[in-house]
Amino acid sequence: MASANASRSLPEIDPSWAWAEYVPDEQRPWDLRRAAHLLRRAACGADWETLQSAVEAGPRQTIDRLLSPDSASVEAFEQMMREDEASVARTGGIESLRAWWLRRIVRSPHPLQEKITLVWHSHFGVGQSRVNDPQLMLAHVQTLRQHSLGSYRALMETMVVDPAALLNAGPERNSKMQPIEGFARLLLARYSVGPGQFSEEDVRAAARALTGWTVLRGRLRFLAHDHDDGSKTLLGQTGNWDAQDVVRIALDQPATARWIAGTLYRALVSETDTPSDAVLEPLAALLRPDYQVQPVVETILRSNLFHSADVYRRRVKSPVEFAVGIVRGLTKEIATLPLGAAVAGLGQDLYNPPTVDGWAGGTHWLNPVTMLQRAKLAEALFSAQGPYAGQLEVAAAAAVWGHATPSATAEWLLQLYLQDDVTSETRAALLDSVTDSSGDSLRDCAASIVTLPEFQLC
Amino acid sequence: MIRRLIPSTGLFAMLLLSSVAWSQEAAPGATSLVPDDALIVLRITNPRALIEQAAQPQIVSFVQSLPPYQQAMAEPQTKQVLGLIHFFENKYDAKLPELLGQLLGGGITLAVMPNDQNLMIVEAENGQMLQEVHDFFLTIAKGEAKNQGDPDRIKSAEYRGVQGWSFTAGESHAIAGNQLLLANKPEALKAALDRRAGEGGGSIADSAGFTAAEKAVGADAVATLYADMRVLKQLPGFQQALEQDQNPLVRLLFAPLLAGVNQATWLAAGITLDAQNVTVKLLADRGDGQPSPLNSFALPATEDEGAMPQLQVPRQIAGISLFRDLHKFYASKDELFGERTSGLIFFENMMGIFFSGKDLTEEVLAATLPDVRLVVAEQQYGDTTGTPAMQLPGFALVVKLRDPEAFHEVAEEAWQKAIGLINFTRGQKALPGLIIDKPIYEGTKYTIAAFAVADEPDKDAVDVRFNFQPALAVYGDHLIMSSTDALTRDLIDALAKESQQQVAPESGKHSLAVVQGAALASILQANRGAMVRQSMVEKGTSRETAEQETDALLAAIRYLDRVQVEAGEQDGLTAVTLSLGYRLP
Repeated sequence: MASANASRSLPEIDPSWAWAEYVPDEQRPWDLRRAAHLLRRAACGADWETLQSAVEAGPRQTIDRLLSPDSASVEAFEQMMREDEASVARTGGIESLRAWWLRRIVRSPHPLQEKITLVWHSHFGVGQSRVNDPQLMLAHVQTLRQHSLGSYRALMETMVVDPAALLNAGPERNSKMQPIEGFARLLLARYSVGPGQFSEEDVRAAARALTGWTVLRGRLRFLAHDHDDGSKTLLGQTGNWDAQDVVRIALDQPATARWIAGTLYRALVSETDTPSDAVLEPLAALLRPDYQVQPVVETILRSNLFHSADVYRRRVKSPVEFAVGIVRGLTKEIATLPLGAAVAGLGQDLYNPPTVDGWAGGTHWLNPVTMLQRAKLAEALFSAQGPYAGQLEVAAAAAVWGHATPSATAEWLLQLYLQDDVTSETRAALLDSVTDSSGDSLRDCAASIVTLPEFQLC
Repeated sequence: MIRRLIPSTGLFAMLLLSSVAWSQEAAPGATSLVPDDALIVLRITNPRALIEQAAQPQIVSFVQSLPPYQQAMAEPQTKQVLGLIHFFENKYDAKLPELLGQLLGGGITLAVMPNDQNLMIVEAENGQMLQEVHDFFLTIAKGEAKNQGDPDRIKSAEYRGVQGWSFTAGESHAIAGNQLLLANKPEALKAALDRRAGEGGGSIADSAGFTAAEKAVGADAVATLYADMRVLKQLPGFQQALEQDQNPLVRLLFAPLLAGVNQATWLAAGITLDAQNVTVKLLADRGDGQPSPLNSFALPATEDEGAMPQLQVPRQIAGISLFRDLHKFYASKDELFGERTSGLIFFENMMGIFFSGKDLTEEVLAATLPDVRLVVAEQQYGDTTGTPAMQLPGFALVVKLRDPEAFHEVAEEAWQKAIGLINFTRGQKALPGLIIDKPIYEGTKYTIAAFAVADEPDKDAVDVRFNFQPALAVYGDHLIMSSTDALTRDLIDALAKESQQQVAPESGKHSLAVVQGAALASILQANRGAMVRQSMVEKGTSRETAEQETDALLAAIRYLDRVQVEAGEQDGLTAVTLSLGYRLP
């Protein structure tokens, strides 16, 4: 049954097989490739020790660790980061904040939380270029992080009165004389029911319900005299609705759970294949009624579909996944200020999605220019000079695992970064390129490995 | 073991050479071995003075506390070098500073010559020790070459009765008496030995330029540098660096110095030491030319002219005093910085708005006299406003006016327009604006603009905008434009004091600058957290490492009493003096 389903195209897959727990067997063993696949998608990559530990622990325990890391470590890390980020938001620019988020992603003991926070960051599409206030942006992302694996309902209830989200969608003042429809439209089209599930009347009704909420000098205020307290009909329900009512009514729609499940599906399974409602419905059912995100994420990560050949290396890595994947393989000490700028140059400017629709993602990440830029970043990361000099020491990292010769180190790099998912010709060419024991030769080899098309996929 | 010793040998040699680079009195005859066409000659004429200065217990203890030092000490190669040092200390029953003194104390001369030839002459006080140390390394080098199956690598030949050696490609050396002669090419070594034998052409010691340069820097210098600018100016890179910059600010600040170097046939530097000061004097002759009239905006024409002494204010971090005729400078803008950059266009547009109806050159800048001073000082914050999360220093520009009474209103109108523009721009972004007030201090009515006190939750980390209360004042014949109210008041006091004391300009000097270490360390300490955080993301280091590095920097600055720069003309030469005073605990 399992093998029969594994060869089908995604829309035809049997949902009951797709979301059933993957149990390793002879045909689908739990090995380095599957462990790396899980850690690429759920943690933006991992070092050799984590990969080995995951192989040894098996899928169930590895996913347990991803979902529930040591709470004391997470709490200590979170407290430290929060203090630093708050200070940086007060005194530095958005570039510094961006660097601190990347530092978080590289070092976090809860990488899955950062991964899902990134998903919501693109989902809500709130950007500094529209908000123009680092402190509000930080507070917004902190809210995303706080609820990333928690309740989407709680997240929505906060977002509907989040100063950054309001500024992101339009002018500061939202009065009954001139309700702002931009935020209401986003709320319906992206944050809840999804496109095609509402009318222009619904947009106007939601906008009226949201009137009165205003951001003045960076602070959220509710001006009662600006609020439209008349009757509105929203998604078939009539009443004197306010902002929280909009959230409640929108989340009550069956389409909303499917839309949010689809968002998580696109982030963790596939951005290019459109799943059928039947495939999404079991995930949507898990979301209702409380909209708890973690059970859905857990189901996806444990599923047959997630561990099947249909989705293996079928997703294009985002610039963050690309850069952090390289870094986390070898170190956690990396200059994230220049790295943040480089990742922005590749198209993913943290804290600043290009439009209110977030990043298009998928194949949009790659074009001849960004491929060239990815190669340049890879070269810079492994270079002995420049902003990352001495931070990604290939030979030293390999030596820790007993790989003392250049050829053994190159073999190890292929396993670490690609789990040997290369053709024999490519493999031979890479190994041949390591001509001597100089660091330069190995650095070039490492940069070549992470520039391969296979490494761009996760 | 030998294999491991060879890199150590290199390190030890480097240690010796770097110590050399800090060394005493000219070794008699050393410059007579350097050809007269040498491009650069660096002489450490009094190595012992430098060694003693560097070996002061406070300095040693400070260096030992630095993270890079501690990291280096953990390296195996460093440990081998330390082992070697201990070996020699035991052998000669002397500590490292004394060993270095005996080995290098006669002086060190390094010459960079044409055809990519370099020569170094080390003069030992103890010739026997020099020979024994050389023999030690010769034994190691031979053993290493043999182990590597390349015994012929160590080469030796006799030339003019002196035994020459080469341990590795690109290195030749010989010991002649108490002198170690080290060259990168055998020809350079042979030429030095030829001169030692009284042959081989003229030496730098007889060069008129070198003699004049040495005389100019003075006999009390512990180290000197001579550069033949006639040749160096022909090098493409050097020429490019000397090319007149088109940036107006760079031209305003450095044009007379760049022009001086461009005209020079030689450039000299000398380092002098006293108890807690290091002074570097840079001198350049004027060649055959006279200063270009274009630079006259920065050159005092008479003995009565020059930059004014620094204004002294409390908590001062830095000060710059310039003799600059801004009217003359801007009247020559087409020649000085002809390019119409976007920055320049923006500047002129803004000036056009602020001084509408007036010609910037003839009716604004012509109203100023060539006395321009900039003052930077640490701020103190009141309890009502609170302390900003990022503490910025206050800064002020003080310009002397030709007719203060006539220009006061012109400046006031321009200043208020600028505040209005700031308020309008901030208003568009829904940011708080500045409120203008007219306080009186010591009988002087001036104008300030300040942000209203905000209801900030944390008074120890209020918004950065509270670093600014821009102010404009005219005191006597000086216009003050300051970023803070407190600095404006301090400058009114300073100008009053200056007026009472009838302070005269520094004759012949066109630029003065000073940085006060204690105040600089104080403001950096106030922003330590931000510096640590910036370092963490800039370098990717852990918090502990970033804190160590930041604290080491702060400690170094705390030891700094002040850095002072003076530039101008001295005895017909272009002269720049850099003085560094330090304060050991």
